[in-house]
Amino acid sequence: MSNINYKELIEQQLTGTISDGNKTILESKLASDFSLRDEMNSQSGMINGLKEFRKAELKTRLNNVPIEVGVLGTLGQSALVKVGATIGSTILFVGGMYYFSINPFNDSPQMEALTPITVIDESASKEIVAPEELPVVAAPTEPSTNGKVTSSTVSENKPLVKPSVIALVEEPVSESQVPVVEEVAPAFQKPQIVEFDSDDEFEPETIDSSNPSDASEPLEINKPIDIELKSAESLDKLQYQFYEERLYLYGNFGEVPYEIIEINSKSGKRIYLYHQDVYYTLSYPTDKVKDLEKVTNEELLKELTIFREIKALN
Amino acid sequence: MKDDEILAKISKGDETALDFLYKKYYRMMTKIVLSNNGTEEEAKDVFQEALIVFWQKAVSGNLVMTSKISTFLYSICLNQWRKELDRKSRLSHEEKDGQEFQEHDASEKARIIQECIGDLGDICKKLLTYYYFDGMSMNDIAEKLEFANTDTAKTKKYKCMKRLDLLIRSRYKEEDFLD
Repeated sequence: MSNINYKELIEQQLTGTISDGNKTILESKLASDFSLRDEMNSQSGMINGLKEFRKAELKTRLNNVPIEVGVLGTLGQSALVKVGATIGSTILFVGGMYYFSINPFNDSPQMEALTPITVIDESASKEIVAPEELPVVAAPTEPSTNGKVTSSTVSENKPLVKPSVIALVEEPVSESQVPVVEEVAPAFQKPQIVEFDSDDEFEPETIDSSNPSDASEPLEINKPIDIELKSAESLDKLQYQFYEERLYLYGNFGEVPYEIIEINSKSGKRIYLYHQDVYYTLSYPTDKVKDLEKVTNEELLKELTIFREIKALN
Repeated sequence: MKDDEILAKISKGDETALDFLYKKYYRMMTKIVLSNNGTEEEAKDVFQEALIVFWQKAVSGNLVMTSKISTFLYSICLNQWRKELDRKSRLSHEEKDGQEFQEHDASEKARIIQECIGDLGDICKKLLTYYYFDGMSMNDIAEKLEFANTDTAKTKKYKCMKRLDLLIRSRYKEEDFLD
């Protein structure tokens, strides 16, 4: 017995690795040896202190982890969105550079300023056309019917809609053959850089704008939603009631985790429930208990799936 | 990040995996408490405790996963919140008289020990907490803290414990720590 290292046994006892036999030996020794009991108390205090210290350290670390509130907040931090925004900005920048290099001082084509040509003034059109000065560009509209005129010239200082009009000058045309202005499309749109100021830019259009069947009206809820699970008459039936910013869920929600997906936009908040691989639309307020309505719109389903996947990446 | 990758990171003691889980499941897990009459603070505390339990089990190699991490965390959160509710209800029925002095004494001791641990060097703090809290093996600790071998880690652990003991004893009379 004298060879037994009691300090080692104390260590084993406090770390839960002691065997039953050694535990009995230690307990009998502790009953008679007060100094060993003091030693054990002291060791125990230190180990418990170390555990508390580490736990506090980990909690401090967790408290410093930024938590995003809502799907859009998460999206804002998403690496995918950041990459998307970078690519979008680059495209806009390059597009803008291209646009201004072709047409440096003029405004974009003024479609509404054009009126259908009913009388052809040859001399006027020749003034516009100065082939020796101008680059050759393909006519953006319908090809010529007789095959003689396959391209046209256009002044750099004139709107891009002109070529199709000029092409018609070189052949006799009737009034009915004059192209309609609406068919002429400009080469590209002027970039709308200002719209990137808002996070709403990252919202899928299908969810934000129009979705007649599945997207409910935007909800005016500003606080976090309280959710309460209630027992239902039938476990197979999923129902809900949503009022005073509290959502009551009836049915078998307890065993399988569910998710609430909040889509924030300028017009308000839309809320969906995801449970067992099915998305449901939630209306607000609902005074009576209602059956959960499945989302059936395929585009919306895709968008919601993307939201969840992006959220999961974070 | 997939569950396997998270577990692999945790088994190496990589705490960024803990951050990832916290961020990913915060809303889902805190809702358990919030929807059962808990406050935001209680919900956060329950989730943090659950995550730390998960961390301890995973980092020490004592975890056999038979479900997704989210399911595992969900069940720990539920149990933690049930325990907390039980504790609350017991507290409201128990007489607290007579216990106050003992509680104050114990918390004073704990405070002193925390101070002394804070005064240890970084290596000692890490070594002791990895061993006693995280349950890491001496081999893993030696690797993580870049010691020459396991024996070096054991020797350092012994010295660190000795140092902590001396620090505590130097601040307070020994009888303060004897019950």
